[in-house]
Amino acid sequence: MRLYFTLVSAALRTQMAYRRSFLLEAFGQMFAAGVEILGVFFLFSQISDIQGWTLWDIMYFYGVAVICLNVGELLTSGLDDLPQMIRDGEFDRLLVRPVPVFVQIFARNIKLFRLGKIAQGVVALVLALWHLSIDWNALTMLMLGISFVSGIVVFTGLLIATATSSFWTIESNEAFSAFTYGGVQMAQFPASIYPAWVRRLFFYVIPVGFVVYFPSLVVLGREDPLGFPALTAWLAPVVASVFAAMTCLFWKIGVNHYQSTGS
Amino acid sequence: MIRRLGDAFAGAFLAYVAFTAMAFRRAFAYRIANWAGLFTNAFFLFFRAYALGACFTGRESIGTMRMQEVLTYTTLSQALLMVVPMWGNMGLSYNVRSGQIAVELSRPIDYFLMHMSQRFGVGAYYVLARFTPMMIIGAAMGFLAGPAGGVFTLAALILSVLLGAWIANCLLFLVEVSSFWMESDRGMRGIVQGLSLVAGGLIIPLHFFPGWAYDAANALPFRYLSYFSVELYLGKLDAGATCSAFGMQFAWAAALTLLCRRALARGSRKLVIHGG
Repeated sequence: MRLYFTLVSAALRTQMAYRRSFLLEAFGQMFAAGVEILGVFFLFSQISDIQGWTLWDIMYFYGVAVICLNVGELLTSGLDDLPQMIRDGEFDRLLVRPVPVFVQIFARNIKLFRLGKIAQGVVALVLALWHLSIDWNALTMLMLGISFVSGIVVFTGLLIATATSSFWTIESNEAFSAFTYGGVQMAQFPASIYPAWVRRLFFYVIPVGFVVYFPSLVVLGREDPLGFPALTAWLAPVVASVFAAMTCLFWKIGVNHYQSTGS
Repeated sequence: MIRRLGDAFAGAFLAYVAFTAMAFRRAFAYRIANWAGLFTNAFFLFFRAYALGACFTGRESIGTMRMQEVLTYTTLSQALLMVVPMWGNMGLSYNVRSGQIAVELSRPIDYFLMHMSQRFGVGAYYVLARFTPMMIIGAAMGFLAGPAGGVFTLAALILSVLLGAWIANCLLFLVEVSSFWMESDRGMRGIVQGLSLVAGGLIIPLHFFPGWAYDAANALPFRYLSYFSVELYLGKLDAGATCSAFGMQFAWAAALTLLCRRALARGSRKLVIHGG
């Protein structure tokens, strides 16, 4: 763990070395990260609600979804290079080192854009909580925590699975990314606005929708327009764990496949 | 400077055509990546369409647009994403940082025109590989309605897309040319991308913007990337508005072109002075 932090702070310091360019880069990346939320605000200057969900409801879902995805991205940011590393043969170097492969990969890159996105998510969430009258008790606070932990776990798993697919074909990365970034797009809005096939895909197959939607309903104190019982929210950690286990298995299969194909 | 641009172009016209053709053919090598990208594109189309469509429950129109128009807008703007590019690596940043730029600039070919030719070759590929399939998917899902108007609309559409692509590639060029002065172009890239998304009407239609924001967006070049084409398709502009909008699009294209060439000239001079 200590090793991870050392590598991460070294990477961050390298980036900070070039001060002026860093400031512009920081501003530019923060700006690019934050524009999406402007769209939502502008939209609600024209309409008062989307199928009963108000601006601040949407902001809540948006904040949770964006935070979960981007924390997951931050945790796995080293994996972005995996496809290239496999191509260059650099991955072999990592396999030979005595440090666990994961730790080395995770520490390679820290991106400002990610921090900007997380900030955007936090801003959205804080604004939402400020404007919504949430009944804060043990249950709602627990559910808030559950939605974050489960969400981060699922997105992290998705990102690991995306990188793992590089062990077979480099191009499959994009296809998997469709589920990750499509998933966060989907989860940004309450699942009840989507048609059945979208809901089924993101509840039961890639449970991004599941872990964001159901716990959030409890926090917001809303009845599910889809008719699911409130207890469904308790399944979120279960669903997330199952998904995480499957992605870990997938990763192991991937590394084995890579080594056995005699690179 | 205009004359020099004209001379450069006329002198090596066939060379630029060749660059376009070569880039077009080379793009076919990335077929598999394209299918994967198309898959992602389609997903985004669905989610954006459903989310924006859901806004119409209980209301007829938002910001003068009706539901079918908004669904058409999502299809068209998604379909044009790669043809009027917002992302892209022209290699210019890399060339500057590696010093390769000195070799590139000493060639007898105009660097800017060479890049634009290549980008148009790639863009042409994406008309086949992304635009067409996306339009078909949009139509199949019932999102896409037919274009308003007849032959004139079609001609106007094609012209607006060509100019939009020119503007987009100029913006990308400007982002990369900043490498002459900055360590990394990521700052510029973030700003241009962010503006392209918001002011380009790619997150929500510009017609949904509150008045002040709508006016601000119309003063910027980003509307002329792909949103102008959407407006033409939907028949949102009458003859007078169309003409003045085209005038603006031409003006932006010209201004950005001059800016690109100026920046490149300045940058390469800086290189020489620093003994590059």
